[in-house]
Amino acid sequence: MLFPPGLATVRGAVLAVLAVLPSLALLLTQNPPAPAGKGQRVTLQADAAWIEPGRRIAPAFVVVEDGKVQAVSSTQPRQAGTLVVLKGTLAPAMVDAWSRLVPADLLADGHPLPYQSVAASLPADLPGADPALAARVAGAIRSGVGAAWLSGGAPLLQRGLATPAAFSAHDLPVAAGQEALEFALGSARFPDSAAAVLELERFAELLESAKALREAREEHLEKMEKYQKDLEEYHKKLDEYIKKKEEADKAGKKEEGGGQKEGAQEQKQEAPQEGGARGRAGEAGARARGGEAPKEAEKKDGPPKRPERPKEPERDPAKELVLAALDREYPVRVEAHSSAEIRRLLELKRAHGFDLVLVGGSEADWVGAELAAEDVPVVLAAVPQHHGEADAERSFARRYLALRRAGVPVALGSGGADGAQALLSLRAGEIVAAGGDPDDVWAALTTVPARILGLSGTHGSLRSGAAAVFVLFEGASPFDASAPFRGLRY
Amino acid sequence: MLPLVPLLLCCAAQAAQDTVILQPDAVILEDGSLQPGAVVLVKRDRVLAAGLSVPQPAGAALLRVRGVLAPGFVDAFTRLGLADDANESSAAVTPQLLCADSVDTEDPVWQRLLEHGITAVHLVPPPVDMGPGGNYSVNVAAGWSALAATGGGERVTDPRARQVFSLHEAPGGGALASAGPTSLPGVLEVLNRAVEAGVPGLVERGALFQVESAAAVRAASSLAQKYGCKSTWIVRGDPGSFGGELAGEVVGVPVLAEGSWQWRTPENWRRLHAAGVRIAFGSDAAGPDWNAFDALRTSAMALSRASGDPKAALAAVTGNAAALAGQSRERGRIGAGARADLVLWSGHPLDASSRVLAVMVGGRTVYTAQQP
Repeated sequence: MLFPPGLATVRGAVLAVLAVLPSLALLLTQNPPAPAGKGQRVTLQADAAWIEPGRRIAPAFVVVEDGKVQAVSSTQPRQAGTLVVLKGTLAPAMVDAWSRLVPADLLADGHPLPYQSVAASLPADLPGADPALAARVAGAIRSGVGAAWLSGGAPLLQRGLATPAAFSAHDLPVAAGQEALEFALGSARFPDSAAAVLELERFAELLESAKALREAREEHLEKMEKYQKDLEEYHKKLDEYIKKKEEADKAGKKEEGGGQKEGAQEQKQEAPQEGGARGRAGEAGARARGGEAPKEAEKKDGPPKRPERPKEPERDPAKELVLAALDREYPVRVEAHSSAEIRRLLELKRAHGFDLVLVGGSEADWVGAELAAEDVPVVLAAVPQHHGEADAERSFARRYLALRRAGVPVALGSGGADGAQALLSLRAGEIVAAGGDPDDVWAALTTVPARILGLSGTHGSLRSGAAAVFVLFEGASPFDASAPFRGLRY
Repeated sequence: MLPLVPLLLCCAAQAAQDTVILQPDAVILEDGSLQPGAVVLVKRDRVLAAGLSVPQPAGAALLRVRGVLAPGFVDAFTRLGLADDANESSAAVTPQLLCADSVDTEDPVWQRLLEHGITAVHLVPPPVDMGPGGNYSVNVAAGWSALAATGGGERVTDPRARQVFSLHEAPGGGALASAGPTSLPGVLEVLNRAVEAGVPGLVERGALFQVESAAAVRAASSLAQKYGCKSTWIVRGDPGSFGGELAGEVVGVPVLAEGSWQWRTPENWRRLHAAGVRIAFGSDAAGPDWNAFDALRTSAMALSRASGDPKAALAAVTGNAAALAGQSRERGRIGAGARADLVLWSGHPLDASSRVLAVMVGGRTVYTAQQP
């Protein structure tokens, strides 16, 4: 023993103080902790961290720079920058799989369009661009939400193209991840009404008509190819005809002069214009000028018959979006509640092969096995907007647990009501209280919605490159309401 | 099984000796704080003392249990366990009616309540009854509420808990004239006449007013002041707009049941709490099929998050709920003189992951959880 017992204790205390001295100094310089500025490196030291469901470390050091997580470890990094000591466990912020954090004009539903784009409706990411929306987003971040699905929510069968969004430093939503085409089937809009059945068939017809549009387009392309060939043939014949005519004219000119030559030249000038004309104006002009040509062409030794340009299928931006979804450019997010409707929806998915996300799904648990077989994820709303979900016998928690038992991936969303993000973790806690596994429920708030929304690279887990938006809880889990829980961003 | 065996042993031990010292991992004390290392001294059906240092009588058995010992939850107002609505739609004034007369002692709901850590319920007749033909009628002086234990010996422990008055408007017309008034002035007139004629037990046991507006709160307050009776409250509607009138009072608030989740609701609770209202949660439920027994606890969790005050949130399902039924000394707390209605949880009751391990009512272990 180098030191007597008493001195050994003193030495230990001195060494301990020396070890924490740098940290203390840093703490003194940045109290109270402030969000990191541009280029400023901050290390968040917490008692523990939930990297992702089921994966934890303690203690935790999370290095943040420029709004992004640079590194996560259980030992203090060398280049820590400013050290911020946090009491509690740090976890990635939740991803709200169903919100309406959209600008007021989209909320107003004044003139909804079936092809509206939520991403195109978002304000520019500038300070003060939309203070009302920024206040709502700031509230969501405080509630522990770091990204959200922004539903267009138009009161239509086809609701348009909606988008996931991350939150900017100005508390504004910025489109990110995978857009999807939204629909609301009858049960979402006409509960307990015969109109719901009609709406389901309208949806099926819409898919069929989009398919018909694709076929018409393919047919049109084939016709256009043939038209191009016919046109080339026509030009050849026309050249020959003009040549013949010129020769005949030359022979006749000797007798009568050059009256017909002018006509031939006029035809010749017209030909290149028609050859290159693919727009309607050129075609219409050609028709107007050459309106009598086919009849004349019928005459023996007359000019050749100019082929008719095939009529292009009518443009329909709404149907074109459906077509893009059928071609799997976008997933299809359908709000539907009745089990019969969901079954029909699965039939249509099998028939048309689109990627489906089911939203709402009051009775989805009744068809859980079928949803699992098709690997269709379900988004459940914490605060239902739809009265069909207000079924005391089949509570939110029970529906969640039944779906999970069936093997269906489930994500939780606030449900679209303003301010409902504050209830997201509470309703998830209700599932845990009803017997749900905390890790599984936490996945429904983080990794599962991040995957569905195409945000896995930046949200849902604590990893390098993730957005620096977190929840901090002091209890045993995010579902422990006996201790503080809050959202924070650096 | 480890946490359960000792409590069962406790039961067996009590048969032999009537004083035991329970030593769980932690105890929720009277002020709502979680005290690790605290013990609870129980004699027969009563708690003699609780805390870090309690007297240890000679011969008392010391029983160590794993988990957190909390007071049994009290449902501040409900209709669970009643065979019918416990309401009278033929007359507006029925102060003689006893809610206790409608209790179905064999209802399986009692067992389910125990499984969720609820050891007592305050049975309150609903404010508005559906009259014949679908017309609403209002029962102004509804009669006696009752307190029932969910386990143990006697089911109804207090058949005359509070005189219940309903100051609700039922606009829309068509109400039967004999059944009661449909507007607040009419309700107040009937109420005044009824109280002047004499309502049994009003001064001794106090009044429970069911209200949904600031005007109703003011009218009921002045009436209670005039007749010198204590008043407690159940608020419905949107208490965010008039809850401030009830600062310092014990106020029953319906839980967040399935289908009633609105983002405003916890915000309203936060405001009530900030205004000094002592919130007590009632499931307000009827019928054994209503299966959201977790609603009391999850509502307390929501209040804890909204207010940032877990102690007040826990009081809303324990002490305050007992106070609403006039039982603040007897139930809803672990302290000297209280009944030994105790629930052993696997963790803090406001942690959603915690599970009920065992329940003791009146000093007897009446429920132990199945092995997972």
